[in-house]
Amino acid sequence: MNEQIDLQAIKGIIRRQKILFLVTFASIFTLSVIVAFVLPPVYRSQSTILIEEQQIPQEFVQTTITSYVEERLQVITQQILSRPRLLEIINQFNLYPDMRDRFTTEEIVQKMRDAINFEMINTEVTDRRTGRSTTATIAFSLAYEGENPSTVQKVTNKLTSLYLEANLKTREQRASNITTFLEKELKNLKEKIGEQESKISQFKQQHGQELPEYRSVNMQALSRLNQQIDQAAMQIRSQQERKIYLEGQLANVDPLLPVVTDEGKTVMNPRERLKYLRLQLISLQSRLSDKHPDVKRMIGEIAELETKVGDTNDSLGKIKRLKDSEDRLAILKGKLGPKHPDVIKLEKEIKLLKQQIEKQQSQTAINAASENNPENPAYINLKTQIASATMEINSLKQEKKRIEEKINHYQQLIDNIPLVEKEYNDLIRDQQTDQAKYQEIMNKLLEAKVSQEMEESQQAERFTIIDPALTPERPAKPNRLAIVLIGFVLALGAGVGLAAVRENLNDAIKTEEELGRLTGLPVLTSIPLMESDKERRQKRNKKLIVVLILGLVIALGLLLFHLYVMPLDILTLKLQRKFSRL
Amino acid sequence: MSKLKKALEKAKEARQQESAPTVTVTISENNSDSTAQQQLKQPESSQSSVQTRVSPCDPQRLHNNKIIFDCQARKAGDQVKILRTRILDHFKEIRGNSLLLTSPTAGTGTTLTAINLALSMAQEINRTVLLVDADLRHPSIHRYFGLSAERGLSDYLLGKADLPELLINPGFDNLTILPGGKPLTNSTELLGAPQMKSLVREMKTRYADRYLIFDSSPLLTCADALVFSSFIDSIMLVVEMEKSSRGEIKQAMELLQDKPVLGSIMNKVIN
Repeated sequence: MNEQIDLQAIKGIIRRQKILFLVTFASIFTLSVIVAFVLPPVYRSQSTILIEEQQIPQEFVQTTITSYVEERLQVITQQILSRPRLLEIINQFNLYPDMRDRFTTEEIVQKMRDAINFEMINTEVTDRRTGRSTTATIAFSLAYEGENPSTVQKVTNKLTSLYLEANLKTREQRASNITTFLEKELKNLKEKIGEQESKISQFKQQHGQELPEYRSVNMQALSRLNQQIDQAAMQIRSQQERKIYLEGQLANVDPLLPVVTDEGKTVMNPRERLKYLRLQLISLQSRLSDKHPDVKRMIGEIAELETKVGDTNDSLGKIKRLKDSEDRLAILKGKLGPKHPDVIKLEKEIKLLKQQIEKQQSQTAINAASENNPENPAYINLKTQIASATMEINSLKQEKKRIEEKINHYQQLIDNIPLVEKEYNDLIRDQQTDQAKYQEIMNKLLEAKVSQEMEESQQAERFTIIDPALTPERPAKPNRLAIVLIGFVLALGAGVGLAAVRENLNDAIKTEEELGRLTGLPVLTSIPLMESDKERRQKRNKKLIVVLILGLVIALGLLLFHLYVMPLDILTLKLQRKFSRL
Repeated sequence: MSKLKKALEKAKEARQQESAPTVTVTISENNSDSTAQQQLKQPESSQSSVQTRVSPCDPQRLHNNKIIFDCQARKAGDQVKILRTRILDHFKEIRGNSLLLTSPTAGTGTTLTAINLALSMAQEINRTVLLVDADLRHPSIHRYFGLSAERGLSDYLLGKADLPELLINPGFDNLTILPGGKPLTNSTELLGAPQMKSLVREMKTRYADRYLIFDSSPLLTCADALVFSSFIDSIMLVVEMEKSSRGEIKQAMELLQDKPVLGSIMNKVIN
């Protein structure tokens, strides 16, 4: 029962919507068929280009072109698909002649661009270093589509050759660019290094021994000098000791030869006699007056001796005696009082001593002269030795002084080294850095030159045509059968869809059950549609008229087509040809 | 078929006043049977029928107008018979005898259904049927029968005529027609007037075995049907398949709320 109702409902839908469905289906399907056969054939020619890897192993020659091949291919594609390039090709092969008047250049170029199909051929490869599998482009295909098979082939060939050329050119250019760049860089560095070297040498000149590399030399010199100075000091000391010794010796030797008396007894030498006499004199003078003959005699003897000896410096003895007398005086004065004769005597003596000391002191210089003409050989010998020791000492002192100056000089140098060192090190470091850089760039340049040579001799990565473009024998597009099939499906879908939409939009009541539900009351009966003969006839007539008009329209359409577009017999022939190709 | 034609012939002979349409059907007399005789005789014996103007119709015209009076349209005829039975059962149940046929919109075939139902009911023995054309805006029942009725219900309601002189017997036993008369534009007021009420009451009560069938104008175009539906025992909604929309039906049902709606009829069903 239920099934029957469903069937009924479906029947009703078909009855109601069949016209709409048929019209929709027929029109879309017809349209698709027309499209399928009217579309012009499109031929496609394709060439495949292999990307050959570098011939020489990478370990030997590293190429300077490090960009990925995909990237380079894209760049080349952009270059080739550029407007001027395409226009050139369009003009060369006279492409799209019928588009020229109606469309802008830009549109034609765009059409050409769309007709060119560039495709990379990838494969899974295992990376040698990482061991991971990646996709690598090993080849690419280039296709061009057009309406003329031979032109299509030619254009494809042209495009292929453009790719090859562009690749070669870019590679070489890049390689040479790198070399040029490196060479320039190298030149700059060289100049810089030269400047630095002259700077360093100037600096060296300026600072000489202050440079840190002289540090050890300076230190050696310093220690040597120190040794020398020690030596000198020692010598000075020994000479001084000798001198003192000699002077001691000299003190024992009278410059004048001692007078030997007849009794074989050496007489006091005049000096000693003088000293003795003087002291005698002072003691006599204190006791006696100057007029005493003894005193007079003594004075005479002293004067004689004095002329003989010269000035004998007995002032020391006199000073001693003076002091002694003064001490005694002080004691006596305390004990005896100032009027005591002893005290007076002492006071007189002190006064005398003082006078004599003063006198003698003024005479010392004169007395010295007597020593300059000694006559005792021992004395003279000693004198000479002392003089030579003195001279030695003097010269040693001078030497020492000189050494000290030198030491100061070296000390100064050593002190300055750290100051100079910093600047010097900076200079050296700069130079070393640049030197290293220079070396590096030099190496690179050499490599780049090798790479460039490799590029120029086409030993590097290159493109090879493995599948040249052929003249297509059959059109690649359109797939007429597919279009017809798609059109069929589309038409079916559109028809069903439209019918469904219309059926759903139709608000009219369709079944008894629905009516019952809607009214909430029983449906008493359903009376079938009654048609009178006249109505039936009218309906039939209407159908007939529609068919007639349709036929007429088709006939008229064909006639117009025949007259204005293409004679029908030619169309038939064409269709036959197309069918045979299908 | 033949008996009916014979009856029509006889009726035509009886009523000579109207110019009878040319009848080209050959009359065969040997086919007559008792029921035909009975049916034929009944109008003459009936009191009301005597008064009623009888104007037999051309069967060909009736046929062309899809009025089912024979066994030609079998399917439709069967359905009408089912309808008749259900209505009669219903009348028995509610002790009513008046039925109003209406539709949401025009063109659903209400009038034809009313005519066919009336004819079918008239064929029941001992029952008379009065078919009233209450669609005063577009009175059309007389046209189905090919009658020229210049006067009708509207004239009665306007007080221009008496009821008996308006009634027509279209040549079928037990069936009387009250045509609509001239088309009116202010029919609503007339139909709602007390005269109408008294008329319906009179018609309902005059004969116990008489059924009243009213054909009225569409519900959604004017208020006519609604106005006098309160005088009626049962209402029936005629809906055309694939034409009447759900919205219209819903609206019509809303209008008929609280009214004694018996049910609906799906008309013009296509299989």
